[in-house]
Amino acid sequence: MENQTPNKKSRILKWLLTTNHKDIGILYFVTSLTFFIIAGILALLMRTQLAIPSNNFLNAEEYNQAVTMHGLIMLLWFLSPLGVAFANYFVPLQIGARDLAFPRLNALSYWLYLFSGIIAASGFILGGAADVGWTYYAPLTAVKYSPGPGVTLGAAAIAMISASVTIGTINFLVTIAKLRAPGMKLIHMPLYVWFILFTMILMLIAFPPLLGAAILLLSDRVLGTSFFNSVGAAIIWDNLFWFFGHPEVYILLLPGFGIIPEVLSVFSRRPVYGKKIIIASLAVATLLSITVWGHHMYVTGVSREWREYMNITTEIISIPFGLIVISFIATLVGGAIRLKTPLLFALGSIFLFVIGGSTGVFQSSVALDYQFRGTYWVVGHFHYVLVGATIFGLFAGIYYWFPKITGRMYNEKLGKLHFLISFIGFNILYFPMFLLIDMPRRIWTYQPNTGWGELNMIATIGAFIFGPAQLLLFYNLYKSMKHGDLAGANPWGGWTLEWATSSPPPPEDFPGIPDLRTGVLHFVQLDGSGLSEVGANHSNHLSKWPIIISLSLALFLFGVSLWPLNVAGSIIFFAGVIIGLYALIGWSRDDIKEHFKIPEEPMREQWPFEKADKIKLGVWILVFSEMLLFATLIGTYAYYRYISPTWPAPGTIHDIRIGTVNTLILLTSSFTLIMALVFARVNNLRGLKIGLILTFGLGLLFLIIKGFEWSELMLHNFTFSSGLPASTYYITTGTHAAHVIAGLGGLLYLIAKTFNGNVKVNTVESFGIYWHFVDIVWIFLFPLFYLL
Amino acid sequence: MRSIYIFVYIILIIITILEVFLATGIFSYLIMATGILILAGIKATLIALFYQHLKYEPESIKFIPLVALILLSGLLIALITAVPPGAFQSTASSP
Repeated sequence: MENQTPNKKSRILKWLLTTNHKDIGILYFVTSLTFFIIAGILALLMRTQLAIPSNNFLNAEEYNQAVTMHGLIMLLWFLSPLGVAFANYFVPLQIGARDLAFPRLNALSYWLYLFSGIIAASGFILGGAADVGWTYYAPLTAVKYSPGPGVTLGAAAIAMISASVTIGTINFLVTIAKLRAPGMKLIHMPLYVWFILFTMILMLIAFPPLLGAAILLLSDRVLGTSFFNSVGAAIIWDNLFWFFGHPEVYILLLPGFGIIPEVLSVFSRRPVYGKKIIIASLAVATLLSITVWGHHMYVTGVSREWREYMNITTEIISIPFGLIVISFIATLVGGAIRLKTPLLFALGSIFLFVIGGSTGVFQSSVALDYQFRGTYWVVGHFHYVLVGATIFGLFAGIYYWFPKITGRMYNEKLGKLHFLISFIGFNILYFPMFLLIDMPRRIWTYQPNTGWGELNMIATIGAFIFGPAQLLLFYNLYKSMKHGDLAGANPWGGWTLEWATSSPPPPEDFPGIPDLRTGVLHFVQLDGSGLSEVGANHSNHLSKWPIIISLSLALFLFGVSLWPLNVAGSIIFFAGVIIGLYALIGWSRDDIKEHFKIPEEPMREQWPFEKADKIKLGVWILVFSEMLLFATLIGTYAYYRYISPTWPAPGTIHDIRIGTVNTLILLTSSFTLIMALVFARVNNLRGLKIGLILTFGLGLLFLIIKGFEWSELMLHNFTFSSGLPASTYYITTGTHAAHVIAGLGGLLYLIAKTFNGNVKVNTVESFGIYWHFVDIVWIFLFPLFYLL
Repeated sequence: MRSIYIFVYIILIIITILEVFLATGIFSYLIMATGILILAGIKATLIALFYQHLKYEPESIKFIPLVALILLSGLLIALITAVPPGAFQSTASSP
């Protein structure tokens, strides 16, 4: 495609179908900045409303929608994806790879992200967007209190972007583990890649509980279950949400923070000070970040011991970040500093992080938190971290890597002006919030006698300086992309691998395989089936299936969200299902016919995963996230059983015989699948086919029995809305059944490949890891719902 | 390997029967629940070790589900222990 003369139509088609990591990175970049504009406008509307007391510029409902969607879009559809944009473009380049491990899945991640954002924002034109605050606190999200479609659409969008993120994390983790250039040991990876590695690990841990919570909320709103409108619902939502929500702060921060050492080092001409200390600090911070979420719940009635524990872990987490900041500053000491725009933004990021981080330490204290909770102090604190440290870090990345992406230099004067106005505007906007220590953050207006008017007016003036200042960035990028000076391969004198290739880089990234084994970079050319052929294939790697699958899932979720309110919802729902099936078949057919084949990359540094191929490693990482998803569902069940005074006795609702038969069927399916693998290993094609077909039949039988069981229960008035025992049963076993259905799809794919004669033993083994995991989940669901 | 897979399958079936037997109510609820959950854990371990081949995988692969298991356990414990015992007893109604 790229070798042909591109006309407008083919250029558009290329952007829709591309799977190249650099193209996807640019798509993420443009889309996230578009969401930045949308969320930024919402912020300006909010600040206008709050500028003076008793203002009626927005009414309460409009304000609540603006504040909710501002938070959701900024965090999930702007900040994190802008970090992913850079990661997409530069992680493969910095580790010397030609692409991510699974290019089509990378495209799928992007399109899921884009469509999820559209679903979230669609509430504005469908009777009102979500208006419950970005934290979606229960029971405010119950249909009873929020009957419009906005909350449902928001929950559907959250579920969809969680899927996007999970696919993305698997892709990045496998890429970093398996595709490093020869000679690039883990410790040799640039710090930016380390920051992305830890970001991806955190995403892998944090998003499955969010996905689980979104599934439960959707089922409440669509099916009538009662997860988040029962006694104790507020606590379980808080727990699940903040188990995601606090690591999310670091998920947002680290990609921007990871750019800073690159910029500091290049613009001071010194190696990063204390690289190993920074990596160790990152590891400790990652670990601690999943143990601190309870500090968001001090005032919810959680136990004293719990609060003490979370208080301690929250205070400790400031230590690794302190070390990272000290290392950053020490890098500059004695350096030949070039005060270019990227460095200005990097320094701004560090400065603002110190303010944002140190104000956060106060909130780790239970006693102080009781005073600060829900005030503008908190708003000031987290905006200093998330806007100040994170956005300024990401802006440093925009200016730093703009020449590499476009091949042209940006306008330095405009860049510096952008920094100056942004920095001043930012502080005028957010610093007054630290002084509004007694103003509640969740109000749409206030009385004149509160004395908050003056500081609010100053903050609003700051917003109207900071917001429009971003137009300078957009203008600079647009103008420089066309008319900037030619950059050359390495305009900054950078040392990492992206600077060793042309600007912009070719489709296959490098003119050969970057080889670092001798300590001096050189490019290895492969003969025959090697690089030249791979490079040619790479540029043709277009696939329509990622965008179609994403569209189908968007229609599916859109239909689900509208179903209770609108008959059209059911039509959209079924359209999504049909298109989805068509796309999945198409994707599989491409694989079976080998129309889309990524050759194994030779000579790669793969420690410590040399013995696992890419797919097997990817499946294990998927299982990791699935374990946390089911932990969320089972944990919710266990929580409600723990706090409920009564629960139906074993055997009174669910027939133990049915559960036992289904357990034996699934166990047998695991056995037939492992025997299929045995036959595959000895090239017994007939045995392999029989094994796979038997496994498929058993899985199908399991589902038929499950369907029969559900219909019987429904006939006996044990429906979705029959209280918590019914809610937990249907949604947990239903989610498991959905996994069995996905497994059956995988089995059909394997059977087709087997009949086509091109199935690999490794593929059967990797699929088995998933199928046996689904079996293991049932092994626990059986006693929980039938025997205990 | 084939004989190991068959052996594991037979054990899995036997344990399942044992679980159902335990659920008939011959022991107190606490012993029954503990026993059944331990048996479920044994079944899951057998499948992970032999059918998912974790027993034969390098440490780096074993590390992935192990970390997930630790996190999963932590999350489950946290969800249940966050509230003080009996926190909702006065307000909760029978579901």
